[in-house]
Amino acid sequence: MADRELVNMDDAELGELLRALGRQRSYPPTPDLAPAVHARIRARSGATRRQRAWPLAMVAAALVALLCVGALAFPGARSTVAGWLNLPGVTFFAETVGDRPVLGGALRLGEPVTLAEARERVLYPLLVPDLPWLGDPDEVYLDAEPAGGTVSFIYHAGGEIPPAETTGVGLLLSQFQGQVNPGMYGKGLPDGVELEYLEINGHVAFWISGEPHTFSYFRPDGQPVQETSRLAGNTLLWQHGGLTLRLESGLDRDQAVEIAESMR
Amino acid sequence: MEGRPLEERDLVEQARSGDAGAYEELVRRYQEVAFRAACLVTRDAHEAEEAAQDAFVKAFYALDRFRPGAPFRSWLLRIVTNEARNRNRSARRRARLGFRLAGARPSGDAAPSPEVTALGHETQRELMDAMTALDERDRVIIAYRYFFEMSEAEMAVALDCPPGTVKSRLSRAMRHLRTHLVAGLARPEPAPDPRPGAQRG
Repeated sequence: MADRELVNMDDAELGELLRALGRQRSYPPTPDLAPAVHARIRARSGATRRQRAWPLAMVAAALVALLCVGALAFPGARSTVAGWLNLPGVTFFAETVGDRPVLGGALRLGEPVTLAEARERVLYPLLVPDLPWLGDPDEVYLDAEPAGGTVSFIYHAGGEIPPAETTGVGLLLSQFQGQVNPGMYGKGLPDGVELEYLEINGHVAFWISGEPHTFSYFRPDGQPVQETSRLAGNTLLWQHGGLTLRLESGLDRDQAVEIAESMR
Repeated sequence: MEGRPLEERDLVEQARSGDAGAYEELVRRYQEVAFRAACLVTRDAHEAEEAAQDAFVKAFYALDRFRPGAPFRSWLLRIVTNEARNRNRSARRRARLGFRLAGARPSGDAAPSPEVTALGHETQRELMDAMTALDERDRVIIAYRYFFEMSEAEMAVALDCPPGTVKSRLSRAMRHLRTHLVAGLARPEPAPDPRPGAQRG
């Protein structure tokens, strides 16, 4: 039978017992975490150093080049440049939509599905982040376009994931088959937006940070589509096999890269 | 938070400037409390180890956001418990391994403190059962206060809440603990644990 005295104790008395209990070693032995932590930090520091930001002049030159790319109206030319950037299906497209893009509203990501359904219905092996601090996506959406399907994961804000500026969504991660359908995908780069060149999984990647920015998306028929309602925090664009992936969030670059590199 | 050695501040500063060796020292200093805090949330030693390790890595890259002079342990525990909670979320479809707070027998070189011995094993078990049955957030608050002996100011940092609300949250957690103790009165005494070495006393 339980100790009735325990139930009748006041908080101070109970606290003393808990304090005494806490002094006893009633936990599993503490593992030595230092070597593993040290190794992971060293490994990641090396990777970070490889992720060299472009010098300002190069960024400016790149932006000029990319703006020119955006002005090209010929799908063939866009494909060539996209190939040159080694990021299939992606280019940058500057479009004047006012000084401050309008954000908010529904994300229009397609049909809500389960992760299992998304895996079954897309025409490629779906990639999912494998990170303890991120966990599973809270919502999964499937869009038929471009061909092969676009799958978007939503992670709610909370814990280490800050909310986006207008939507309250913490993180939006989308993937689509870039090589099968060379439909263009672009991003406007207004003032205050910074572009960094990174390397992820041996491929070129882009880290776009700063002010909120809009997306311009070229459908397979070559028509540009302006998207102003998606999440627009910092954006990481990268390639994984035949897929192009886009991560938008309020996370910093290293966290975004950590997610990208964890995709399995 | 008073009386923290200056050395901790130095280590944090050095780690912040990229000195992985200094950070390793901080890890060794706080790995036990980090692991134990993670245990309280995950109730699984392996998950707790992973969570604590991830938290230390993450904390290293977040040092820029650490306010100099703030209690490092509390700041770290906030990250640790977040990591552990995320792990719980990820593991929600996995079966619990049934780790109990009191499930691990004290190792041979750690004799129970006289106070605990005086409590009696039955009382100790009841208290531990009630702690285990608590909602994880209540369990963490009580552990911060009584197991880790944190001040209210430190708890406010660790819980990421205004200092003024620590007392009321602790009081609520203690009320819930008491509810579980009362519930324990109604339960029949459990059968002895057949695992070798699991039976205390």
